Amino acid sequence: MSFLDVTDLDITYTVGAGSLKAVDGVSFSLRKGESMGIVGESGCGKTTIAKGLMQLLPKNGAITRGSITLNGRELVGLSKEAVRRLRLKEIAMISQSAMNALNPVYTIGDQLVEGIMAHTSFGNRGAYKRAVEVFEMVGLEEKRMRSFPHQMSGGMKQRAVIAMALSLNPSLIIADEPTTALDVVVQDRILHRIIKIQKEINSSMIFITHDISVVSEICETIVVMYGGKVMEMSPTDTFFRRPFHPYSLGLKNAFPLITEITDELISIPGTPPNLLLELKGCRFNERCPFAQQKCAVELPLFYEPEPGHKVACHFPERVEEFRERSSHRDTWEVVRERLIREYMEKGAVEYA
Amino acid sequence: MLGYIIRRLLIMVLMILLVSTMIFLLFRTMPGDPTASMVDPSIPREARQALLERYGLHESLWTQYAIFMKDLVRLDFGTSYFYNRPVLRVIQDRLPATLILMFTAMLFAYIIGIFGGAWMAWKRGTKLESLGITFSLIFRSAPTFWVGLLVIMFFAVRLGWFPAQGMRSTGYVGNTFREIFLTTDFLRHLVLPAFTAGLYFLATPTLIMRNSMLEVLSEDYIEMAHAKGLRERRVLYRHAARNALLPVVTAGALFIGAAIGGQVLIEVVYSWPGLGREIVQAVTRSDYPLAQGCFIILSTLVMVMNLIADVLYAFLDPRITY
Amino acid sequence: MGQMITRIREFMRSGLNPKQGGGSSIRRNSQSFFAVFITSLKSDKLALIGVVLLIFFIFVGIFAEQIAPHGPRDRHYTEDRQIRRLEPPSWEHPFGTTDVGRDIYSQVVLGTRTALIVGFLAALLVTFVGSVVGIISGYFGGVVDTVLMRIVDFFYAIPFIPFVIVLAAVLKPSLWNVILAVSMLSWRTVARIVRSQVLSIAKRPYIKAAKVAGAGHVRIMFKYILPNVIPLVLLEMAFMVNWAITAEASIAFLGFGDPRVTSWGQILHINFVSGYSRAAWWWTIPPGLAIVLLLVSIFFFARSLEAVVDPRLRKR
Repeated sequence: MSFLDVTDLDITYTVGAGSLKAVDGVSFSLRKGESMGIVGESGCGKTTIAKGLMQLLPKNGAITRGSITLNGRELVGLSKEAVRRLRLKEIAMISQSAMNALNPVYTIGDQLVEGIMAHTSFGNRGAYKRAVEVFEMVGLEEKRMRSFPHQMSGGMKQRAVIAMALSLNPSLIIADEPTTALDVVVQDRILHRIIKIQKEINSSMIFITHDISVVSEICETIVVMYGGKVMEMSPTDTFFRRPFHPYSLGLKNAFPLITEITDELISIPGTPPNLLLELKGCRFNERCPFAQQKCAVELPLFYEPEPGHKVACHFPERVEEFRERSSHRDTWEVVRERLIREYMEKGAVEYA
Repeated sequence: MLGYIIRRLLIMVLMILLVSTMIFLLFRTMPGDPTASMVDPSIPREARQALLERYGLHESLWTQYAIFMKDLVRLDFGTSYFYNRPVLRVIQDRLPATLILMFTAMLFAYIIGIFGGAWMAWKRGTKLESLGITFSLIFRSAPTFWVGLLVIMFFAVRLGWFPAQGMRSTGYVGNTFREIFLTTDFLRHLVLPAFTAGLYFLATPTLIMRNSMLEVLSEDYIEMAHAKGLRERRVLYRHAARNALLPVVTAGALFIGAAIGGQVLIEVVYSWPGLGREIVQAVTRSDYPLAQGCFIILSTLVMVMNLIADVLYAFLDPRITY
Repeated sequence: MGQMITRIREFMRSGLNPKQGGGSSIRRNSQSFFAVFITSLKSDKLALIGVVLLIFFIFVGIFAEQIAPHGPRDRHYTEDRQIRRLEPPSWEHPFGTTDVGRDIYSQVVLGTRTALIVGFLAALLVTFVGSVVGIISGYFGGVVDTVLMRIVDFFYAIPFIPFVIVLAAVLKPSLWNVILAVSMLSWRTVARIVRSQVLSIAKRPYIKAAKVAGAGHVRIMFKYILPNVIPLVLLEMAFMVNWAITAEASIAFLGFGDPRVTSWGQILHINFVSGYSRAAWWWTIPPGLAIVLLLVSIFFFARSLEAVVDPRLRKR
C-alpha cells in the first residue's frame, strides 16, 4: 500500500438529461515524497481528478465508483466535516487560476492566517508568524501580508497562493496548472520554487498540466490521460526514452523537450471525444494514425512492457514502427484528411 | 479619503443650490400670473398688495432670486403661510419622524433582504427559491399606498393589533425627543408603517443580493476558500456574502430617490406627521414656502444618503481609491 | 458607476430569468427576433401567462367603454329610490358600489385605459429622450459626455414623487402633465444604461472602420450604433412602462391627478379620502390588484424579451 492509492475511480457529471463520465476507471498510486505529473488535453479529466481528490466537485459532479485512500484512510464517502479537516492540512491545492483565487476584499495576510487558524490551535499571533515563515519560503516580503490582491502582480499573487497551500506542510500537494497564467520567465522560477519546497517538506505532489515538457523536468512519474482514461503511465525517464502509446507520441511531438526541438511542431489533428456519447473502444481511436477496426470496438487493457510502465494500446508489439512513423508530419496529415472526409460525409448524411 | 468626502460635500452644496434654483423658478415662472399661485387672487386688492409686499413678491424676479438665495444660505426658508411659523421650525418638527420611519424600514428591509437573498442563492433551483422570487416580485409591483391600505384594513381594523394612524395616541403630549420617540406608544404606532415601507424596500436588496451572490459563488476565490478547509458558513458569509454586498450598496444609493417617494405615500396613508405628508399638505394648501423648504430638505436627504452609500462602498471595497 | 448601474439593472431583471435549461439550446444569430421570442415563450410558462394577461389588459383598455356597463360617475339606486351605498359585490355590481353609489367595476375597467395610455406614452418619451442623450453622450465622449452625465447626476439627486407632486401642483392637473412630469425625471436611468452600452459598442472594430471610411457622425450613430442599442432600449422600455404606471397611480392617489379622468389611483384616492378604505374591501382591492397584475404581466413579458435581447441567457 502506498501513500495515496486511487483505484478504479469514476467521476460523473450530470448534464441536462444525460451524464458524462469525466474520469473513467482511473487507478494510480503515489509514494511519500513522490511527484507525479498528469498530462492531457483540456477536457481529458485531469482537473476533475484534482477536484475529486479535494472533494471540491461542482454540484452536478460526483464520485460514482472507486476509492481514494490516503495513508490507508478511505476518502470517498467521508463526512463533510472530515473532508474539511483534511483540506489544506493534508491535501492542499495550488489552483489553476491564482489570479482570481484570492478574495479581493481581504488582505493576503488575513487570508493566509484564516486558513492556518481553521486547522490549528495557533492563536492569531502564532498563525501570523507561520504565515510570515511561508511567505519567506516563497520569496515574499512580510509587508506583503498587508497588501490586497489588487495591489500585487500576477507572479506575487501566484506565490501567495503557493504560500497558502504550503502553510501547514501538507502531505499531498495538488498543483493544477499552477503557472499557466504567468509569463514564461516567471513560470520557470515559480515551478522550481514549488519543487524545492515540496522536497524540503517531503510532501507528495500531483502536478497537472497540458505541457509534457514541464513534467519531464519536475516529475518522477507521468500519467497520460485522454477522454477520462489513462493511456499510459510510467516513470518519467522511461517514458521520455520509450513512449508506447500513439497519443503519447503525438503529445511529445506537440510539446518537444528543449533538447529535442526540431524545426516544426506537429500537432494532433482533431478534437477530444464527446463523452456524452457511449464510447466502446479505445478513446483515442478516432484521432489515432494507427487505428484498426478493433480499436473502435474493444477497450484495450493495460500492457506492461517493463515494471511500472503501463500502456493501454492493442498493439504494443508494433511500437517501434509507431515511434518511427509518428515523427513524420505525413502520418498525422492522413488523420486530418480522414477526419475531414468523415465530417463531410456525416454532414452530407444529415443534410439528405 | 477625507479629501474625497470634502470634494463630495462641496459638489453637494452646489447641487442643493441648483435644486433650489430649479424649484424657485418652477414656482415663479409658471404660465399665468405668478402671484396667483402664491397669494389667493380673490382677496381685496389692497390686502393682496400688502401680502405681496410682505412676502416680497412685488419685487422683480432677479431681486426675488437674490433674496431667496441669500436667505437660503442662512437656512431661512421663509414663513409658512399655513402655520404662520418659520418653515425651518416646521421642518425641524417633522424631520425626526421621517428619518425614524425611513431608517427603521430600511434596516428591516436590508437585513432581511441581504440574508434572504444570500439564502435564496444558496437554495438555488428549489421551490422555496422561486417562491421567494415570486413574493419579491409581487411586493415590487404592488403600489405601497395600496399595500398600506390593506395592511391597515387587516392588522389595524380587523385584528386591532396596532394603531392605524398617527405617531402617538390622542391626548398624549410629549415635549422632549425622549418623551416623543422613546415610548411603547410610539413604537406601537411605528410597526405598521415601518412594516409597509419595509415590504416596499425589500425587493431591491433581496433580488440584487441573490443574483450578486450567484455570481460570486462561482468565483475562484470561493473554491479556494473551500479548499482552505474553511467551514461552509464561513465561506458563505465571510467570503461570498461580503463580496456580494457591494452591488447591494450601490443599488441602495440609487434606490434612495425612489424610497423617499414611497415614504411620502406611506406617511400619507398612515397620517404619519413627517416631511412627506407635510409636502403633500403644503402643496394642497398652496403653502409654497413650506413646500419649497420640504422639497429642498428631501433632496438634501437623497444626496446625503448617496454620499453615505459611496463612503460605505469605499469602506467595503479596498479596490476603490479616491 | 455607469457600469455598476447597468449591472444592477441586470441583477434586478434577472430575478426574473427563466430557470436553467428551459429547453432552449444555442441558437444561431440569424434567427429573427420574433422567432426567438416565440420559442422563448413556448419554453417559459410564466412568460406566456404574462403575454396572455397583457393582451387581455390591452383588449380591456381598447374596448373599455364597451365593456364597462355603466359610466364611472353614474349613481345607482335601488327600486325604492335609495342610493346603493357601499354595496358589497353582487351580480349587478361585480365589485360593489362606492359610498355615493357608483359602480366600481366600471371604474376599474375604464381605469385600465388610463394606466395603459400613461404607461406607454411616458415610457416612449422616456426611452426616446434617454436613448438620444445616452447615444450622444457615449458616442462623442469628452466634454459632451461630462456635461450630459453631470445633468444626469443632477436628476438623480431629485426625489421623484416630491418633484412630481410639486410639478403637478404648479401645472394644471391633467393626464398630459402627469406624463410630462414622469418623463422629466425618468429619462436619466435610460440615458445611463444606453450610454454604457454605446461605450462598449463604440470600441468595436466596425465602428472604427466606418469612421475611417469617412461616415458622418449621424450616419454612424443611426446606422451602426442604434441597431445594437435597440434591443436593450426595448427591454428598458418595458420596465419604464411599469414605472410610469406606478407613478401615475401614486400621483392620482395623492389627489394630484386629472380629476376628470378615471384611473386606478384616483379610485383609491376617493376610497382613502372617504375613509371607507378600512371597511369596503371590494372598493380597495380591485384597483390595486389590477395594478399588480398589469405590472407582473409586463415583468413576465419583459423576461421573455430579455431572452431575445441577451443571448447569454439563451445558452444558460
